[in-house]
Amino acid sequence: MSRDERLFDKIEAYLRGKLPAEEAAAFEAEMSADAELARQVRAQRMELQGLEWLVERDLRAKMDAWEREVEQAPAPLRVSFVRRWWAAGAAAVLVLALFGWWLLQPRQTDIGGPQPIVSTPDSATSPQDTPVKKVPQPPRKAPQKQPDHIAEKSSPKPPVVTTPRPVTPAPAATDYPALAATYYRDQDFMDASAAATGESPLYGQALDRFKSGNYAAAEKLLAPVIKLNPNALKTKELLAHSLYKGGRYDAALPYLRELAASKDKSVAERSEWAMALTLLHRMPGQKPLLDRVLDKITSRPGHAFYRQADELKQKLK
Amino acid sequence: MVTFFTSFALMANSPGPDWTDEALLAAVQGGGQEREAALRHLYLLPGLREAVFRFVLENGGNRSDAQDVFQEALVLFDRNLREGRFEGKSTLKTYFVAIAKWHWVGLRRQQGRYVEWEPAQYDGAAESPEVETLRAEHRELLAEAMGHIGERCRELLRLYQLDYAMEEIARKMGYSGADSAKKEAYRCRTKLREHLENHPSWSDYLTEK
Repeated sequence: MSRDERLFDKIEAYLRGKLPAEEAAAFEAEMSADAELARQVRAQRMELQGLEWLVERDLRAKMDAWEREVEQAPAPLRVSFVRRWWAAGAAAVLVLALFGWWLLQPRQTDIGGPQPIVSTPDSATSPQDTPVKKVPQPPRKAPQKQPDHIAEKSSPKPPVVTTPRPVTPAPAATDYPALAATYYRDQDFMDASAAATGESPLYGQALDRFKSGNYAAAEKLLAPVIKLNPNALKTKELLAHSLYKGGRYDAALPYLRELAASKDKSVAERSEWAMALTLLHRMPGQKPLLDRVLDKITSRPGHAFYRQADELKQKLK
Repeated sequence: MVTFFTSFALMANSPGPDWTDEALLAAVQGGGQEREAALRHLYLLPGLREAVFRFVLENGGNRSDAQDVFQEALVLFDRNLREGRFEGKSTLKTYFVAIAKWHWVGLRRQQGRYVEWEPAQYDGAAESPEVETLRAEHRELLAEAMGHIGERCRELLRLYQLDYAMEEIARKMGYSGADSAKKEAYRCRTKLREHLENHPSWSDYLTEK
């Protein structure tokens, strides 16, 4: 490790609060006596702000995906807290009423036992002769095996209401945005677009903004051009990629879909691949569409992105 | 009756009550995929969104403002937790709502709106408006430099910032091992620094203010 790297690591540890207090104090003293060191620390602090910007950008993209979950949820995620408790209370009263009714019924002696009154919504659970109260499990623990005796067909026992099984957080799954980042290569899309400066005088300016990472500015320049000239293919392509890079995947998709239907084969193929990468950011909700796009690409061995799409398909299996 | 049963079924499909504050805090601070699961849980947590929306709507905002505030609050919440600003003086839910309230009041004041309401101070308060403004000023410079280092470097540095172990980064990004990932992270940082240094206003940013 070179001296530069050692210094880099030390500054990093200091900025991340990982230096022991005494060492941090000594380092601060060193900084106040060494202007160049102080400057390096400021520079590295700024870099860390840049890294934080990346984290924020990714979180915002994820929130867009979660927002879609909220919108697509049949009702539970949108129903108000008060209404949920009201429903739970009403259901509890109903259960008590049914339990009272059951107590008043004459006892039967020839069948396995009463049916559960309220069952868990988990349809995969096979009905048991004697339903058992399900206790919410703490997170990340293996489900406890039911004791054998509860499966015995003995005399009927009073029914015990099963409560909804708590849903554990989504398991750590494929990091789709990371996967998309691995496959998204600027040169796959932008080298071709660079030749389109003739489409609009604003295109060149927008491309400069795009290359400098100012995607919002690129979008601002390109959107009016598209309105005036809806057939400006490469302008539309640059707009779609500006939206993609800005983390606005839902906004990018309609443009990419249009471009994928273009008669210009290279534009269409690039856009199909870009569409697949955009859909990766919308996984798992968009899995059916992503599968279709990947199938379409891999059904044509001459497709410019056949190899990448095939590899991605394998990774998603 | 069907409605009641349906309500139970729907409740069971929503995120369950198994994330304690301790578990959430550990997951967010630990980074990695647990962090994402924890933040997703909070995002979908019944009651949290409603509390933020109610506050914004009752204090001069519309639904779109409320949505923005809710999302911004999660960004600030995540950052505060990772940077160790949360001191545990309240529950995480209360803390989240306090961040959202502070953010909305700050926005209203920036817009020149008089805000009578003064949110109670919460521990590990967000950075001062000056620091936040400075962050916003830097943002363009940083975004521009980030635009030059390539998507792969950006992804690697994002994982690094989230405290993923180098072994994990290597596995995710296809490097041969932790050492290669570390070297690559250093290379990406050097690349980032070069682009920052090429920016005409870089030296201004480094001047102590």
